[in-house]
Amino acid sequence: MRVSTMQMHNTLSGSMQKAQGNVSKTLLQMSSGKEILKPSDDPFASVQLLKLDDHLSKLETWSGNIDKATTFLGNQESALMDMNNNLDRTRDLVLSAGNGALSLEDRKAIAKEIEQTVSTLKSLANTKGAGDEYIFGGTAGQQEPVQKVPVIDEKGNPVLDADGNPVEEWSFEGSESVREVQVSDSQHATLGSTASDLFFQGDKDFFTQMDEFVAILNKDPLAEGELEGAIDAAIKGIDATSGAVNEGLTDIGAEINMLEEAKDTNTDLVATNKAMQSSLEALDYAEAIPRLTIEQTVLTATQKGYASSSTLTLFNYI
Amino acid sequence: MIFTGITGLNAAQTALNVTSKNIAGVGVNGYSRQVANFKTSDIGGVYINNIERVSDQYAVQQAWFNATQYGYDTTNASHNLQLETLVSGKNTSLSPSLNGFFDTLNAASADPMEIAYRQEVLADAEDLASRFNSLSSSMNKQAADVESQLSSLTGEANDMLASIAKTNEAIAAAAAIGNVPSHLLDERDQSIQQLSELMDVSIIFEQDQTATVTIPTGEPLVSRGETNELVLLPGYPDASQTQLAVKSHDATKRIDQPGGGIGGLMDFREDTLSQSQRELDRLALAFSNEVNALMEKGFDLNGAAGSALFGDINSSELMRNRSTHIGGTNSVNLDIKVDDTSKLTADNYVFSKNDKNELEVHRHPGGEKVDFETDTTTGDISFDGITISAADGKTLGDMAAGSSYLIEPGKGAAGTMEVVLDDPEKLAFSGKADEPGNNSNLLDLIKLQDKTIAGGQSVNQGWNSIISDVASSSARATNSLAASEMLYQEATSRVQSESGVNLDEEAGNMLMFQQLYSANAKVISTADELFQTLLQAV
Repeated sequence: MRVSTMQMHNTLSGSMQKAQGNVSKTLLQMSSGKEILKPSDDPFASVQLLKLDDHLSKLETWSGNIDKATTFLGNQESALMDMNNNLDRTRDLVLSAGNGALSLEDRKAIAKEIEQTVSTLKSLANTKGAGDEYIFGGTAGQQEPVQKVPVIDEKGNPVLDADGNPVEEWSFEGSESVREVQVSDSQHATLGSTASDLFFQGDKDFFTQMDEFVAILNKDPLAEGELEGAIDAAIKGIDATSGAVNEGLTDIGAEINMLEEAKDTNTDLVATNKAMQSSLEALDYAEAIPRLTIEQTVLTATQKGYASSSTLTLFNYI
Repeated sequence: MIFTGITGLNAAQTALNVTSKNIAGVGVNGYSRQVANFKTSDIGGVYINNIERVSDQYAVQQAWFNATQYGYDTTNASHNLQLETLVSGKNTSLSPSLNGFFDTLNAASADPMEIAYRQEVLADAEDLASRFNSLSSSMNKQAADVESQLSSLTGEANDMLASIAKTNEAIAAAAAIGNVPSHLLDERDQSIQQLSELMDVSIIFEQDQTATVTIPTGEPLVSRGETNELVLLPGYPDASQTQLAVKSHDATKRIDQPGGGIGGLMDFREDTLSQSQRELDRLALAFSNEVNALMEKGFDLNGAAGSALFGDINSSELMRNRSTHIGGTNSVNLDIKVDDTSKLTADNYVFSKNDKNELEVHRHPGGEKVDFETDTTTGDISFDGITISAADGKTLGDMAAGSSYLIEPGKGAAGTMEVVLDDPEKLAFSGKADEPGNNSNLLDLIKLQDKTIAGGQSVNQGWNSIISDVASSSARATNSLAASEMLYQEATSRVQSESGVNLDEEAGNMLMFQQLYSANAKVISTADELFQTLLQAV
């Protein structure tokens, strides 16, 4: 075939450019570690990659939720354990009041101590977490869940005592319901218990019972058997509350176990997801390195060919 | 003998002249080499019978044909790649913002009262809205680039038509008196080739050696020295999408399939870019609407009823901008209300009243008729999740017969999407008025990520399918370009192989003609010597 000088030049420079393009693409692939540099390189695999990316983002989100839920439950757990200690101390104090040899002064001293432990329990029930939220207030944690509030009669007026002061009573001001947080495709973590679950079960709440017991301790003189009856009632109240606190601890333990499992599953899913991404887009270096060598050889050859052909003209010899 | 020598000398000189022209032309695009043909004379000696322009017209026409496909694929693939880079780029794609928004909602679900999370939700919502905005404005900018490129390519095509007409005239004049200069033919071939890259044309060579250029359906573009101008007309029904037309004395005729670089641009605009724009707008409408509906159902941090996070999808401005008058008497302003984003298609519509006073809706692109429901009291019509009504107290009954409007339900949605809430406390995460720590409405918002919201897809799926459609279109265009580039190279290579100058060949010729010249000079000097000898002998 007849070949014109320009054709020769075009062919050689064209193949040189092509060889350069191939080398440059392989180098880009090697530096990014990816076989697919843009979606059109493999539209089908790219769609899979987009889906995997979206799912990965969710898995990371859930993993964040698991951490937050674990922190929240951890806060409740330590508060509940403190409550247990204080309840035990209160119980011991109540029982010690049963010693028949106690004077009024001794009883008043015990009453004072009980008031302190109960006040600590109230503070624990009003523990604050992130975002200034009361963690035992359920979904209405914007205000102290355990409060003394004025008693209101049917007409909406405050009830007054003999001295004309408003009568107050203990009240749970939070919400009975607790928050749920999504931790996997199908699981939600329940964020612990409320002060209502712990202190406001049965006919009379724990704090009222303790107030009543303290009043008896401070009373003088006491009727026959009045102290014994009060101790019985107070111990019952404390035991019921302890039971609720322990139940809360058990629930939290179970919830944290669930979260740990969810976290493990999540970690596995992240690993699987990344493995799938990698199988779709990752560059096979074992294939790419020899490819690069060949492409570089081709490039060198075309460059040499180009250089020699440009000097190769009959005009050099005449 | 001297006379014979002189003819040889002259012929060698002419041949050397042709060789030197060829050598000079080696780097000129479109230069066809020439060959001096020697002939022996009846009265002795040689002469140059003719200087032949070496050209294989079949190969040349094949190259023109391949130039059209190559031109088409070049503009089409380069714009596809540009759009692909936009939608798939980490800093331009919707996915990171979308996933970021839901990630922050999730983080807030553990602590819905925490103001820092609420602020982050607002910031991420702003980020998401601005991603929609910038994607929309980048796509609009690309559409504007396509239009300006169309206009410059049309200008180039007109220049080529003028150049062909001019060389036609010079060729006809030269042909009338004998020989047509080779460079004129080269120039015209070159112009036709450049024109072929821009659009699909047919060439017919006439008796007087002029070339008649027509579009394949027959409308003439160049006839001898006359040209018909190519113009860009406002498109129908969408005026912003200009269409190529040829203007003759009596009429202007649209060219539906221009092919070449111009056709590649138009097809990209219609098949890929507009489609992506409409899909993006629909996604913005559906997403804003779903989020707003949920927000309005919930309660904010202070227990007040929730309000919309994003701008109203049925603001009076948006409703009005969704229709454009395109034909007949413009007697009413239309309001297009989006009633049900889940039923929206990614299509536009032509809404018209025919001469029999009947309302009609046709899908665009596509053209098929769309059924609609008519409200018996107001006369408003509804279809595909939208309702068309007349504004300013009028009804559709006031619409003039023979008038038509372009309906674009998604127009401006992605471009104008904005966050209208500025107080993080007003985010309605709670499902109960007096429980700010409640997150049930927030959990519903999180579920929105997987909810089917438009076109049978979730918001992530909707966006991914935009990317995948663009990627497929880009892959197709790139593959097609690789094929047509090779065909075009082969075809031009064939032309080159026939008509291109080979320097070695010319060097050889030069030596040969030099020798020819020297030998003939020797003949003359020998003849002279013989004559001198003869004279001395006398």
